[in-house]
Amino acid sequence: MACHEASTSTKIKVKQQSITVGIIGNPNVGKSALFNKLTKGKAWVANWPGVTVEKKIGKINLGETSFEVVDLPGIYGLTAYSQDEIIARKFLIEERPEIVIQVVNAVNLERNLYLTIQLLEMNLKLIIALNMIDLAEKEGVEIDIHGLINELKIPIIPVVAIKEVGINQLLETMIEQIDRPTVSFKLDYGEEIEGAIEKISKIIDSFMGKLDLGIDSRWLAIRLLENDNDVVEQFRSRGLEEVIRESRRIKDELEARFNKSIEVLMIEKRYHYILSLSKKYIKRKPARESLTIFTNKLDRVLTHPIIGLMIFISVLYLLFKLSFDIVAPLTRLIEIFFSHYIYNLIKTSFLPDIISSLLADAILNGVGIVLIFIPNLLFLFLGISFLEDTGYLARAAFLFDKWMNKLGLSGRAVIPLLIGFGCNVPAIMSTRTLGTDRDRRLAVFMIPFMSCSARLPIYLLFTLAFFKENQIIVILSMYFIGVVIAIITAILFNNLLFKGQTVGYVMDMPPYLIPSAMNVFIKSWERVKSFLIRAGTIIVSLMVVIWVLSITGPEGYLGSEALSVPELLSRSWIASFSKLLEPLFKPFNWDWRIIASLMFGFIAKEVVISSLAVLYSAGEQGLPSVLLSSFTPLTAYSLMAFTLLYTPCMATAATIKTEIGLRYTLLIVSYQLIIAYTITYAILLIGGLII
Amino acid sequence: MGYDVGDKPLNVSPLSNIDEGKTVKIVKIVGGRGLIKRLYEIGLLPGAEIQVLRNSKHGPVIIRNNVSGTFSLGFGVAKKIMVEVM
Repeated sequence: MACHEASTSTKIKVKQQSITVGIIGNPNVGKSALFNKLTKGKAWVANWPGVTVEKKIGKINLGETSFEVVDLPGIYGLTAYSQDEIIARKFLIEERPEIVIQVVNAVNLERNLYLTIQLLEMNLKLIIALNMIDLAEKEGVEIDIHGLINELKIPIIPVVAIKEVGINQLLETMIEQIDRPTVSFKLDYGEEIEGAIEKISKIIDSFMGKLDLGIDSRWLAIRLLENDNDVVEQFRSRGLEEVIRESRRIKDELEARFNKSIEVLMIEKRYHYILSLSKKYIKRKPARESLTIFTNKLDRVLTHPIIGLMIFISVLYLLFKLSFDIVAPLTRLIEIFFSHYIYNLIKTSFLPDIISSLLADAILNGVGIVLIFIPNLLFLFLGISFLEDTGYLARAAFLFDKWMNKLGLSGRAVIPLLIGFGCNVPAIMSTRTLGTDRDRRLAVFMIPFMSCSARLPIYLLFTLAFFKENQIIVILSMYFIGVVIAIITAILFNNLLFKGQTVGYVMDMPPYLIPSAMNVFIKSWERVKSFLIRAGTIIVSLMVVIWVLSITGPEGYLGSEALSVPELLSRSWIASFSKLLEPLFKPFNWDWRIIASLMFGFIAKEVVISSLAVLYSAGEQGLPSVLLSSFTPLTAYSLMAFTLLYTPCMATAATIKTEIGLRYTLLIVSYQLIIAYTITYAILLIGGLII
Repeated sequence: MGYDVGDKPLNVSPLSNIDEGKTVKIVKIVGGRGLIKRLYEIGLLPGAEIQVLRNSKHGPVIIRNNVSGTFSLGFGVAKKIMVEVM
C-alpha cells in the first residue's frame, strides 16, 4: 500500500513537470498550422542555443499535465544540410523530447514515411498526425489507417490542421502516450548489413560506460554505417576513435563485397519497406476533381518562361504598391505622433534639459525609427507569407533559378533580393528561407546594395538641385550601380569566401492552396515582433551612442542645443572625427560637414539630408540652393553614389547582426565602405576626364 | 511505381535532356554522396518513375511522381540524374 502511494506521488510529480513535445515533418506538410492550432497561437520565440535561428515554443495545459510544444524546422531525413535541418536533428538526438509528433502529408504519404522510419529507429515515442486527409481523399488516395497502426504499432491520428479537425483527438493521444512504453522498431536490413550492425553495436556496448548519449547502440551503429558526421563527432569527442576506426573497417569490407555504397543500400532498404507498406495500405484511384490536376494546369501558366515572368513582375509590383504606398499615411501618422506630438511633450516638460534631450532626441527618436518600420514590415510580410502559403513563392524561385545560378545562388534568393528595393530589413529577414547558410550569407552581402526606398529622397533632392533635365536617368543610374555592385559582390564572394559548398537546388513544389488567415497573420506578426525586439534594442542603443557623441566633444558637454546649432555641433565628437577623416576624403573635395552628415546617415539614409541642412545652416527647403553654391554636379553625383553604397543603415545592420552574427556584420560594413570609396573615386576620376 | 534495380537500361540520358511531358525511370544518380542521399530521401532513387512537367533544357526542371510529390530540381541536379525513357 505504502509502495503504491509512493508511486502515485512520484507520478504526480512527473505530471507537474512539463512534457516536451517536438513537432517534426517534411517541409510544406502543415507543421506550423498544426502547431498554431495546438498552442492556440500563443507561442513565444526563443533562440536555439548558439545560433540565430528562432525556436518556437508553446505551452498547453491539459488538466494536471502541461506540455511544452516545440516547432521544429522541416526535414526530409536525418541527413542535415542547412542550419535549420541541423537544429531539428540536434533537438531530436540530444534533447530527446518525451513525445514526437510527426506531421505527415497524406497526399504523398510514402515520401513522409521515410522520416517516420528514421524516427522509429531512434526509439522516440512517436505520434503521427496524418494531415490533409481531406485533400488525400479528393486525390483518390485511400489509406488503411488501422492497417498502418497495426503494422507500425504507433498512434496515427487523421487531422486537417487548417480546419482544426482531429486536434482534440491528438491532444488526448498525447496524454495517453505519456505513460506508454516506447515501441521498439527494427527494420531488417538483410543478413550482411544486420551482421555489420550487430558487430558495431557490440563494440559500442563495450564502451558504453564512456558514452552517455542515452541512445541505444543499434541506432548508433546504423548511423556510423551511414557515415553520420555528427555521430562520428560524438564518438571522437569522447576519445572513442577505436569505435570509429572499427566501424569504418566493417563498412569498407561490406562495400567491397557489395561494390556499392552502404548508405545508399540502407536508404534503398528503407524504401523497399515503405513500398511494401504502400502496396498493403495505400490505394490510389484516379481522381475526378483533383488538386494535383488543378495545380498542374495553373503551373502551365505560372511557371511559363515568359507569361510566368510577366505575372511575377505584376505580383511583385502589387506587393510593393500595397506595402509601401498604401501604408504611407500610417507611417506618416506614427512619425507625426512620435517626432512631433510626444517629442514636443517631452521637450516642453519640466525635466532637466539633458534628461529631456536624452528621452526625446535619443530614445524617442530611436523608438520612432523602429516603429516607423512596422506598417511596411507588417504589410510586406503579410504579402510574402500569403504568397508563400499559397505555394507561389516556390514557382517564383523556379522561374529565376537559372539566372540566380549564375550568381552562385538558388532561385529562392530572388525574393529577398527584390524585396531589398523596398526595404533592406525585411529582405535580410526573408533570407531565412534560403536552403544553406552559404546561400544566406551570400544573399545578405548583396542586399544592402539594392537601393531601398529610404535612399530615394536623397536622390530626389540632389537631382532636383543639379540634374533637373536628366532626373530620371540619374536616379535610375543609382539603381543600376547598386545592382551591378551586388552582382560583382556575388561573384567575388562566391569565389573567395563561400567557395564550393553549393548544394544542388532541390525544392518541393507544394500544391496551390488557399492559405489560412491565422497562419499568415501569426507568421507575419512573429517576424515583425522579432524585428521590434531584437533589432529594436540595438537601434535604440545606437541612437543613444550617437546622441552622446553629438552633444559632447573634446571640451566636454556642449548642451543638447548642439543637435540644431551648427556652431556647437562643429565642436562635437562626431565633428571631431569627421575633421580627423577629412584628409582621407581630400581627393573627393569633401569637407567635414559632408563626412559628419554621412556619419549621421548611419541612423537612416534619409538623415543625411537633414544633417546637411543643419550643418550648412539651411532649412530643408533652402538646402538645394545652398548645395548649388557649394557643390559641383560631379560632387553631388559622387555623394549620391557614396550614400547608396557606403554602409547599411542602423536598422539593416542590426538585422544583419541578429540574422548572421556580428562578425559578418562588421565584414559587410567594412566591405561596403571600401566599395563606396573606390566607386566614388572612380566616378570622380572618370567624371573629371569627361567634363 | 516499381523500384526495380538491376536491369540493363537501353536508352539512358540525363534528366536535363528529357522533353516536357515524358515519363521516365531513374537509372542512376551520378553525384556526390550528399546529393544522392538528399534525392533518395525524397524518393528519387533508381527505379522511381517520374513525369517531367517542365524542362527548358538549360535551366531547372519540374518533375513529379506519387511517392515524392512535385519537385523542382536545379539544372546541375537534373544533369546528374540518369534516366531511361519509358
